[in-house]
Parts: sequence; C-alpha cells; structure tokens
Amino acid sequence: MNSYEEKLKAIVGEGNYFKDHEDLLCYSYDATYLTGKTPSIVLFPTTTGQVSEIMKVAYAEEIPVIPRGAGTCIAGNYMPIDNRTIVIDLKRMNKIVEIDRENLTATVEAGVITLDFSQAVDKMGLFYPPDPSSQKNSTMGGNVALNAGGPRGAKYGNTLAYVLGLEVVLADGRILKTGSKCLKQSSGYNLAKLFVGSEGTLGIVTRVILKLLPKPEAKKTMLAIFNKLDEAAQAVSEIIAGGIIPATLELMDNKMIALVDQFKPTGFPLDAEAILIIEVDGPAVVINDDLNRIIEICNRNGVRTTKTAQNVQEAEKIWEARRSSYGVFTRAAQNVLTEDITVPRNKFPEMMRRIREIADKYQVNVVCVAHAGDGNTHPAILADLRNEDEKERVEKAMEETALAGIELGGCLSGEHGIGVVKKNWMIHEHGAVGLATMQSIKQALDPKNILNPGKLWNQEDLKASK
Amino acid sequence: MKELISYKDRAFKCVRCGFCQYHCPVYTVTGFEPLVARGRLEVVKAGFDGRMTGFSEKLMKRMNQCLLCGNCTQNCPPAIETDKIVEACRAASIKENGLPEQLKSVQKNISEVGNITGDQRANRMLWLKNIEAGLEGVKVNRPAEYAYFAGCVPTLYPSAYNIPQSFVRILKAANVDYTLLGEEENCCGYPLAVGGLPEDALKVVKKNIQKLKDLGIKKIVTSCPSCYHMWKEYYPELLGKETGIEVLHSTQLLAGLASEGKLKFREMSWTVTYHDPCDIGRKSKIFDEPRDVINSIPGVTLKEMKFIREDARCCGGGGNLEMSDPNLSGLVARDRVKQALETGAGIIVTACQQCKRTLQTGVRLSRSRIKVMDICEMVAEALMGESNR
Repeated sequence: MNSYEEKLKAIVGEGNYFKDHEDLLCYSYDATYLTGKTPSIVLFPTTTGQVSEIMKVAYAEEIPVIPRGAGTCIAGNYMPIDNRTIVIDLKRMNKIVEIDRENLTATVEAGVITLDFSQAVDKMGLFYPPDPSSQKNSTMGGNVALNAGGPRGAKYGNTLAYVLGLEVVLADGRILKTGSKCLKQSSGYNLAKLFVGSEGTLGIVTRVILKLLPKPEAKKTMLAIFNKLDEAAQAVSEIIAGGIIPATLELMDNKMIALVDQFKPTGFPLDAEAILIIEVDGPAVVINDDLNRIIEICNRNGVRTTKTAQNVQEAEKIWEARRSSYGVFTRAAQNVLTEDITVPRNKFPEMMRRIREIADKYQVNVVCVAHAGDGNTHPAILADLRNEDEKERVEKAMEETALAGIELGGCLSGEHGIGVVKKNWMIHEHGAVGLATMQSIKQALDPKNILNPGKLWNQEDLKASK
Repeated sequence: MKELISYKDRAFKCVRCGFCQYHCPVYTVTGFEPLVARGRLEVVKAGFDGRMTGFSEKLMKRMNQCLLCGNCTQNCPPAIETDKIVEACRAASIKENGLPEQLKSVQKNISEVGNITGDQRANRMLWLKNIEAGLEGVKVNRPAEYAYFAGCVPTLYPSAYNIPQSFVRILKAANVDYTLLGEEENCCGYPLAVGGLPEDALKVVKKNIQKLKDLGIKKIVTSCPSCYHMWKEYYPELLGKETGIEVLHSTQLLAGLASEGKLKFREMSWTVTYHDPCDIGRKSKIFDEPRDVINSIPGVTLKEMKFIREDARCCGGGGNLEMSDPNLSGLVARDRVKQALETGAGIIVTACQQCKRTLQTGVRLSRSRIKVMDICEMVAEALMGESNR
C-alpha cells in the first residue's frame, strides 16, 4: 500500500476501505451495457468531513474520483475509465436528517434511498413526486447528480424542481453549503441548481435540502387502447395542448404489449398498436372533469376503447403491465439499451414515427415505451451485442435516433443523463459555445479534472471547435 | 471456475439493473456491492472472461456471506437464480480447495452418529426426558400415522428443546397418532446439500427413507423449516424421483387441527407479528397456515411487518451465515427486529428454531423489548388446561 492509500484508509477506518481485486470488480460497472475499468480503491465515508479529507488527498495526488450511489445509472454516468480511480460510495451516509412540516422541506444525506424517502414523506401526509424506475435502489445523491425523473415528471418535473439547497464537497476538499429552505432564492448564481445533473463532475453532493408538496386529494387511473400508434401519439399531444396536465401519461407500443403478454396474460388486445396509461391527480372535483375531457380527446383520435379503474386494485392491474416492462425486456434479450430522447411535446408523434423508421432501416428490434406526457421517449433496443454486426447496427440506430431528436428541437436525455454513452452527440445539441461554457465551469470548479473524468462531452469536439 | 460452466449463460444474463439491491438483506445493512446478486454474478462472469482466476479465499468469503434466502432470485427481472449459483460456487470451491474445517466435522458427525453436533445418539432423547410430567406412552420407533422428525438443532441444543416439547404436547392434546424416531433419527442432510456435498447428502436421504419404509410410515411432520425444505425439495431432486412420503411442516398440521376444532384455546391478550422463515415461506409458499393458526387463538392480534410472505426478509440465519460471519448475521437480525418493532407488536412469532435464535440475537444486540417465540410454543401456551403448567 502506498502512502496516499494509507492516508485514505486512516480517514474512513477499517471496514470502510476496500482494495481487493474481487471486491473492486464489483465497482467496474453501473447498470449500463458497458464494463468500465476496475478502480483502485472503494471508500465508504460516513461524514461530510471524511469526504472532504478524501478529496484533499485526491486533489494533492491528482487521482480521479467518482462518487457513487446505487450504480443504477444507464448511460455509463458512473462507469470508471481509469484504473487509478478512487470510488467514494455514499451509501453509508443515509440519514433522513429532517422532514420539516412547517416549511414543507426535507433535508437528507446523499445515500438515502429514493423510495425510503418518499415513503417517509408520505407517512406524514406529504408528497415527494420524483419516481425514477430505480426508486427502490437509487439514492437521493444519485437523483441529484442525474436530475432523475420518472412517470410523474409529466406534471411534477424532475429532481431539479425540488432542490433548494446542497452541501457539496469541492474538488480540493472545501465544503460548499449553498441554498436554503427558502422557496424563492434570487441571491446570486443558483449554485445548488448548477450541481443538479452535473453527474459528479463538479463536486460531491453530500446533503440535499428538498421542497415537498402536500399530497394530492385524489387520483384516477385510466387506460386507452388505440388501433394506430400515430393516433395515440396525437391524442397525447392534444391532451397537453388542451391544457390538461395528467400526473402520468405513459405509452406502450404493440411490441411491448405482446412481450408482456407472453409472460403474463394482460387481457390487452394484441392487435392494438398502442396503449396509453393516464393518471390524473388533484382535487376530486377537478380530476373527474379532466378525465372526461381526456376521454373526449381520445375519442376524437379514433380510440378503440377507454377504461377507468374503479378502485385501487384495478389501477394496480393497469400499472402492472407497464412496471413489468423492464423484466420482460431482459428475459427477451441478452442486452437492453434504453434511450432517453426528449422532444417538445407537439413533436412527440413525429419522434415516435422517426424511431420506428430508424429501427426498420437498421433492422434493430426496438420496443417503444415513453413518458409521453413530457415528450420523453424510452425506446428500448433489444439486442445481442456479442454479435458484432448487430452491435454496429444498434450503435448506428442509436446515433441516428439521437440526432433526429435534436433536429426536432429535443434534447439527448430527459432523465438518464449523458455519461459516456451519449457524450459524442453533445456537440450537436449544445454547439461549440455551449460545450465551451460547460468546460469553463468545469475548469473553474475542477481545475485538475479529477472529478468523474471522461464524461458528458468529448474533449476532441471541444478542441475542434476552438 | 470450470465446474460452473453450466451456469455461464445464466450469469451472463445479468443486465446489471441492480434491482436485487432492495431485496437483499445483506446488501440492505452493508450497501456493499460484492454482497448483492449483481456483484456476485459479476465476479462469476469475471471468472469466465479472464478478469479473475480460481476460487480465492476472498471470493469464497464473499460467497459465504450470503443467506441463500432467494429474495434476489424471486425479484430478478431476467430471473437469474443467484442463490443456486452461489451454492454451486461453494460446491465447486470444495472440489478445488477441499472442505472447510467446520464442514469437515459436520460431514464426519453425520456419517458416524447421524447428527450435526457429534453428540452420542442417546442424547437425541434428552429433550423428551427433560419434559415435565404428562407425556407417558409417547411412541418411539413404532408404526404410526405420522413420524415427527424433530431435527438436530431442536433435539440437541437445550435452548431449542422447548419447540419439540411444545409440539408433542399439542399433538397429545389433539390426539394425533405419531411416533418419534428417537435415537434412530438421522440428520435430514440439509447442511450437506447446501454445503456442496450432494453425494454425502444422498446417502442420508436413502437411509431416512428406508427407515420410514421399515416402519410402514407414509407421512412425516417436522417443526424445522430446513428439514421440511430438504425433504420436500431436495430429496426428490437428489433421488431423481418422488419419495412417496408426504411431508408436512408443523404449521400445516396445526392449521388443520385448528380448523377441525381439535385445539381448544384460552383467550390470550397478545399482539404479535409473524416472521416468515425463508425455507417454508418464499421457498415453499406456506404463508396462510401459520397466520390461520395465530388468528385461531382468541384475543390474539396479528400485526404484519412491512415485508411479509414472499417479500419477507431473512432473519440473518440463512445460508450458514451465522457460522461464517456472526457479525453480519447479527446486523441482518437487528434490521429484521427493527421491522418487527415498527408494528408495535410485543411478540415476534416465527416457525423455525434458527429464525428464533437469530432474531433473539437481534433483540439482544439492539437492546429491544420484544419477545421471540416459535409458533409451537405459542400454541402450546394458549392451549386450554396449560395455564397452571
């Protein structure tokens, strides 16, 4: 063990320091289809002070550092690219510090699990809306780092909408405390928001102050079955244009319906091209009215049938098919690659068409699910990447889909982030000035480029644009 | 890693979604990736693709830090049986590196005296001799409707005596025709089967089945979930055919007796929660019977924990973890006790001597005020006429 490793060990203590090869292998990946480099050390600090001391050592020695939550990101956002990497795993900093009912805020440590937090809040009659599919595992710090969303994003937005303040350890080990419990903050640069979605490249988030909402009075779930995918997508667009914002508005295409049905019969018609799951919440009087208007719009767009769940069990049954999507994909294919292109909502029907066309062009098996209400598509590519030819076609299709989204005024990611998977396309979305501005911020906060290096954008693109 | 070749494709089906994390009791208390299914499978994959070679001491330490509770398998999107793969790693490591000391003595004891501790056979009956008056005429090694297979731990560890003692009291009260196997009872073979010694396990299996055949007995009942799981699942698997013997867990027999009105209870003012043992719960789907038994006792309120039935978290005693890493086992037990305390119950009822023991450790470690009982103990205590005992 060399001298800086001795120092790191002394900071976190025995039992919070791991360096055996067998253990480190388990920190070479996240939930992405790629495998990264095996890091050199994994540390489990238990206080912000320890994180700060670790960063001082790493800064002095110029060793790359990646903060880690549950490792459930799917764009290679965590994945180490350097064997010297020090991993700071924040899972043992997992206290819900406070739920402040008077101010409708909460303060949590970075390692708190999303679902544990939303359940604790729910018990007090309050509401924390972000609900990423990984909520049973993902951590609040990870949610901040990737600006996580979920089905409820359609109405309630991503994590960004809830972050009021942060405690962040900077690259050189200094501790930044920024923001407060105030809902309105017009007090210089909003540094807390700057760190949201920064993927661990600007600092290490150790504590978060979050905004909470009162729990909505009522909720209703409905199902709309469409003969044509186009008509379903058009209905989505018109619902939004009609000024109705459902809490969730999910779309599944017919491939998805057929796959789910193979594992567990759903009772959904297999010849329908698309199904929408729509959930409205709010005051009981308002949501009934909303539902009626939604049904009207669906009817106008050639819906085959609509069905409103009469009770919680029926609503659960509707959701079951959507929730099982990931499991079904993984059983059907060796690799599952999920894209996250998000487009302006009136471009949603066009984006869905483009996805299908590109899949056909490259002969790739694409299944479409989408958080349709916020224009967030999740085409899932089912592939076997051990097959070189297929791998190449998949990569081409992914790139072309990404560029099509950008062409429609969209962005590369609605909630998964960029990581390494999408970094080569960033120049197309943000342009030379956009990337140079990001680089300036990175340079100011992490001059030695030790925080999660190699992510977000391609350094070559930056040079080329100068 | 060559021995694991039949598991290769399955391991590579892991898409690393990480959904196993939430369901793994060991990961919940450690947050340590090498201890969750995704990490375990990554190491197995690394063995195949050359990032790692052989079963190192560290690797086997990690593989032994698994409860084999099967909660990850049940919730795995691509349905990978990580518990089976961990078992296979343990078995393959024995082939490569030889038996660990603890297992060597278990193997020797079972083959020489038919139990895990190495006690002389006569000691199998101490628990019965220890019982208070009233059980004269218990059949031992004689034909009967049921053989009560009492198991090694309940008959050889005095702290667990109360479970078989309670069970025979209930059987007597309900007039059930049963026999004990006494000195001639043999270990069911479970520690051999999960320890990676299937050939040794098979010898025991054959011996136990022959014993019942000799007595003309077609049904056994056991109060030990591991014995139950062994008889029910592993026996046919090891034999390659059905055993022809009906196997009941004590909770199933008790539920039947209660519904037939053969158990007369006093009114008890207990608030209890029920902990599902993995071996009869998730692995054998015996969920309703123990709850029916609890609910049949007048005055008893059952308050359920957050994770129950299929989702129940292991007590910390599965997979020989208590033997290989008592600290980790204790952490898991504390977490389960915490879930029990959240219900407000005063008693944790379970249906397994190992769960009872591990949960008691959890109670001790967390300095909690909650009692732990086996369901047999609970039923016996609530029986009419037992109040002055």
